Amino acid sequence: MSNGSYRNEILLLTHGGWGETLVDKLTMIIGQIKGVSEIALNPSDSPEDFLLKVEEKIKTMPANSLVITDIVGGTTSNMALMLSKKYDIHILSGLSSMMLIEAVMRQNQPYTEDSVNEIKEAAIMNCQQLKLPAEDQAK
Amino acid sequence: MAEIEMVRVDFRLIHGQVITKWIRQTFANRIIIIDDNLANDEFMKSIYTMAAPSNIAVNVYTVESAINEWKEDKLGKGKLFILFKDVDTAFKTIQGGIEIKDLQIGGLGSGPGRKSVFGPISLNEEDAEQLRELEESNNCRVYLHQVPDEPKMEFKKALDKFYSLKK
Repeated sequence: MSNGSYRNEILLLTHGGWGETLVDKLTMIIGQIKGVSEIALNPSDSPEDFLLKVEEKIKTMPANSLVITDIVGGTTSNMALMLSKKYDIHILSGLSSMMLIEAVMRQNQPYTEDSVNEIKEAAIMNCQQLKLPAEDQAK
Repeated sequence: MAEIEMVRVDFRLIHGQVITKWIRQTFANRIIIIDDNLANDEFMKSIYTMAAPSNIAVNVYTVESAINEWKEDKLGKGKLFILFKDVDTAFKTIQGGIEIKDLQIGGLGSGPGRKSVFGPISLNEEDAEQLRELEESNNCRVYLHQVPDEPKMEFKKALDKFYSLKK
């Protein structure tokens, strides 16, 4: 990747701020990560406090930035959804390693409905129940 | 008539702890939010409706409309998980006649005049007095409990803690 190439912003919203650890450890797989920031929902934050913090950040982000939340139906997701009325953002819930990897790999293009959907599909594909193949009984 | 499975005061209303933990501890199939502001805000109402699992219906009432529905047919059908954003609304609702025997204080954030009494759960003077009144006059047991796997605290103990912190 060429240095200084433009990267679209990704904002992570997680309970307690675990996304930061994820970003830190994912460098082991994909190298340096840039343009990813996080706002933690702390136990004492009211939804209003949290909303203000997130809005301060989203205000500064270009249109079509990507917001990734952890739990669907959680305060992180509810507040992102609220802000999507006022700001042009894409939101994905269910932050996971593969979701973030896919999102980071698409950072050099503005996020679109389609690319966000591809990120979602990749994250879903990565979630599988792993089993050894059944032994071939017919032999 | 509907059956009340659980009643919780939580400043975050429907959120992670409620949908991942508490709802599954009950047989609730309807969430009732009683909150005057939310009942009059169609946009916010839609956010909280989306926040609930798809098999759970969400209804939002004002205190007055909830009390009326209670008088009419005990809030209709189903097994209810009732949520309030603050103590004052729970107090008015119970004083208004909705029979609630157990009240869980699950989340009340910090703020001016508020003292943390149990983990991140805080009370102010009004909360403390109103909850005491509910226990004494309305035969309503009040307890503080954030998430199921962690300990809970009976209100009496929280009240002692509150007044010891105020000194």
